[in-house]
Amino acid sequence: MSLHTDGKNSEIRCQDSAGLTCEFSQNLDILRQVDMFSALPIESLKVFALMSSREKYKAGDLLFQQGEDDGQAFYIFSGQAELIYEEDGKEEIIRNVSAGEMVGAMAILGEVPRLFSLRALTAMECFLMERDKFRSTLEQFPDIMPKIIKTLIQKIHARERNFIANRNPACEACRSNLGVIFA
Amino acid sequence: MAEPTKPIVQRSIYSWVLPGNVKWHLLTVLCIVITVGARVIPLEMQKRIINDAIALKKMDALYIYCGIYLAAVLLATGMKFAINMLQTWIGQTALEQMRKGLYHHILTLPMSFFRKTPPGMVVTSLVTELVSSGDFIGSAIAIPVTNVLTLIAFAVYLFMLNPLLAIISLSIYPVVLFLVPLLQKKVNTANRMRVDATRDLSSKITETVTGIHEIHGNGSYEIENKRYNAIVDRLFKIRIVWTIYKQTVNIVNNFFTNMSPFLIFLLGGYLAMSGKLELGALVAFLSAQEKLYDPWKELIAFYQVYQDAIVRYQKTMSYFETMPEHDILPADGRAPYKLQGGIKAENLSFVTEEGIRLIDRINLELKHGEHLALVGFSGSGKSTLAMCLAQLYKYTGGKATLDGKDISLLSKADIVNNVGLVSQSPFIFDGTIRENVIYSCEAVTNVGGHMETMPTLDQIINVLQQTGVFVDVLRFGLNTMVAPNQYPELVSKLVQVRRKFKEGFGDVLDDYVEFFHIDRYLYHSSTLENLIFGAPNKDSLTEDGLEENEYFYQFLQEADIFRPLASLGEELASQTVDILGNVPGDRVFFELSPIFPLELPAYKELLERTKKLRLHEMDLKDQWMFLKLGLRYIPGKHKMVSLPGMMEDLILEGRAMFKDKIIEDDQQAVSFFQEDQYIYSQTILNNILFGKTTTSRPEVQDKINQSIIRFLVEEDLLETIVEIGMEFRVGTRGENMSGGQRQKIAIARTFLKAPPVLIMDEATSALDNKSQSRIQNQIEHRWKGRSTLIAVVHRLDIAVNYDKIAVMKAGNIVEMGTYKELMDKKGMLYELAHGRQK
Repeated sequence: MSLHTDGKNSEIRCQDSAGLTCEFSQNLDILRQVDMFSALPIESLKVFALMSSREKYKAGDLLFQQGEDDGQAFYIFSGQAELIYEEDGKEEIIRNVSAGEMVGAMAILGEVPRLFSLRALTAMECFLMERDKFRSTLEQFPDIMPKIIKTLIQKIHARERNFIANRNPACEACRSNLGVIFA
Repeated sequence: MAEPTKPIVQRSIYSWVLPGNVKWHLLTVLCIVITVGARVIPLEMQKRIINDAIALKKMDALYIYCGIYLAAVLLATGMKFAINMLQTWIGQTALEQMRKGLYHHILTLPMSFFRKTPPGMVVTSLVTELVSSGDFIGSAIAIPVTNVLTLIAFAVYLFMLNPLLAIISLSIYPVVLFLVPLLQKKVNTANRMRVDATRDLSSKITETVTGIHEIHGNGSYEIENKRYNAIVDRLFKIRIVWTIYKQTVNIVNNFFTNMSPFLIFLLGGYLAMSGKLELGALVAFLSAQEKLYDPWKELIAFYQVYQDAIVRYQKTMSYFETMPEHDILPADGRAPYKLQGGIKAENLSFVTEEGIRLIDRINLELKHGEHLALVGFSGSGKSTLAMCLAQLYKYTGGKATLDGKDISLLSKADIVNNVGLVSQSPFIFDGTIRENVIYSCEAVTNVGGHMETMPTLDQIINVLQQTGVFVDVLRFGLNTMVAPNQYPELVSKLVQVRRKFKEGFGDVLDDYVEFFHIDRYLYHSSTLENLIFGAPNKDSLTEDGLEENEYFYQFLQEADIFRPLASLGEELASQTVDILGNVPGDRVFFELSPIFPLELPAYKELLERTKKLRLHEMDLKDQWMFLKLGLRYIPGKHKMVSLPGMMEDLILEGRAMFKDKIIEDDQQAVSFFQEDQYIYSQTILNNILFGKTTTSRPEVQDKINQSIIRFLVEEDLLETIVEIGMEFRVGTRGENMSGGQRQKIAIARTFLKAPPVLIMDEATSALDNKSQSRIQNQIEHRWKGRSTLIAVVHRLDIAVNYDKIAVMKAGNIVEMGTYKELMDKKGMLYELAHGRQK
């Protein structure tokens, strides 16, 4: 019984006889790569990893829809999807997202309607986290909130810097939108 | 229901003693008189046994006297028991009435009362503080009468024996009578302080529990400890003082009553020696005198109970001495009004007790059937206005009328018959969905409402469809397990049509359903289900019974799966403890865990203890602990361990072996999964699918629901399943439902009442877009012109089709008109809609 020693000495390693790691370990690995989570202590990551789930989608499935508040964050394992922005009944494809990307993480932080829709282009497999579960876990580890805020601030900062760098000096109206988040 | 003439909070404690209890009290007094007589007899017998029987050596007299003695003792004991029973009955009846009456009163108190009153306060008042009053009332007649009569009887007896001795031994009591009340006053003062402090303590505890997230969030353990400790310290001091005084009363009393034998010995001894008193008489005197002590002690104790009860009773009642702001039923006994629903507010204001003006001189008028949307930033007074019109807040200035009748003067019965309110966070009570949906209608019929009959099933189903909660209820129905013989028709029909369903819809569902198949491993079922592949008909084959089941143990050993499974269980245990070991036992965390929160400490301990052992070295009992988890393991759910491929084959072989074994040994033990049989251990849904769904994705659930609904409609089973779903228990505060489902149920119960006035305070805020627009649609097409509506609206797009929109700011209506008018005006609404521009 080789199983016996495995569980005891290893921290988190679950492999079956075929050498496949279990979903939990894979989830944990993903969280370690995602900005929002990577800096968090391992105890909390384990709970996050357990609380997240895995779903399969077929080409054409909508993962989320513009205007809805579904409260989920997606990490794409495999496959491809497109971000769509809809205005006056017309669809505009913003860009494609593919394996290894995290999409829609804002939704687990708070109630906001989706600004885009995400539609699967191919068969997809995603790892997803729900807001309620994320929050319940957060409540158990109060000291990680500041870390998440820190990451968030860095992201917002980077985005603003990006906006400024890419501003269009000819557009008068655009300039009034620069540099204001809390008015 | 007979209303007491005085409100319960103004009744004195004495008013509970006699009314309704006279016959019981008379019976008690009768028992007491018999008891007192029976208590004196032994004394006389005692004297005669010594003086007549023993002294004169009369055997037969001895037997007779002893017989009478025994009979008297038995009679007194029996009577004492009867008196105790009567006391209990009277006391508990009073307590029951007080509890019911006070609860009834508390329910009707104004909202403002509850904002100030912590729930813990109400709990202790109803649960503990009134108990002593009940005890007092039970003994209010019995104890004083018994003991005073006993005292008098003994005193008379003493006088008959020897007047001089009697006077001396009784001279003690006036002193005690003087001292005890003095001390008792101190006890009462301390007791009042104790009640207050206890109340503070329970409020503090309630506050802690309800605000625990804030405490964790701030890490404010020290602050809260300090506050709590301060109250405990105060209570500690008060209780010490209280107890000391109480004990002093007892000690003073003891001291003086013990003094009296001393006097008797001294004087009686002298008299006996000088031949002025018979020895028998002295003995009788001494025992009679000693017997004075018990009734006396009981009287003093009663006095203390009485004082304590009065203090607690008055404290409790005075706390709730607020009066309801509105009559429950119309004062003049008329039937509740049947109104049209015209609403008018003139200079309507609401100022809180702290002096904050929440709404300020509001004017508005709505004709029957008109719809008004209230919009504005939070804190602008929208909800307050809605609450004032619903009579939940009593406005403090101006006037609001319903069909010209002043809302503040209408009785509650008038309001609930004409106004339906859906509040911001509707409360769903423990019970079934059906009970919650008919809640408002039921309440109306209780206050002399116009609704003569309760809603029919069709009406309920109709309203479930209107609010879009129908599918949820259907889902609850589908997820129900029915007991054998509960729905025999449904069950037999489902089995017949199962194949038809698979033919019609199977291919759509293939991706999301794992069908039960004898040769396939079920990744969304537990190992045990995989092994048995059927519904056990014996408890010994369910998880709880397995441990004792030698037969199953033998089978696991024969099939070579005991050790692999126990080992899998061990792995599960160590992973789960590692991940969830320090997390509180909330359901949300343990949904995906094979260990239940309550079992976690046991597994922690087990892992610690068996750390150095190999599986075969452990006790069989410990091995079973691990095995249990192995049997519970569901690969599709318990993601901390993956299913070893070898295990899959072993289990499938085991399944075949188990089936053969059962067929050979006990055919009745298991109903194997078969397409032509209903499986009672599975939900209705799983029975229709003959499998389990593999995903919780909402849109897939929708897809499955739609197929199932179409199918159920074809087979004419939809209504039955919805009926079953309506019996779903929602849990305390509706915890078994989502926020959206709770809101939909709350809207459904108001729609079902179909009142002429609807007040909805952000009633759809937790719903997704689709459900929101469905309900908006209903409001526009079904209720416009029928019911007047005031809706506090959290999203402007909802308000577009309302007859009027009122934009509120700082307690005022700053503009009112149709959506188009206000948008064209480019005023506040425009600003709200487009955000502040530059």
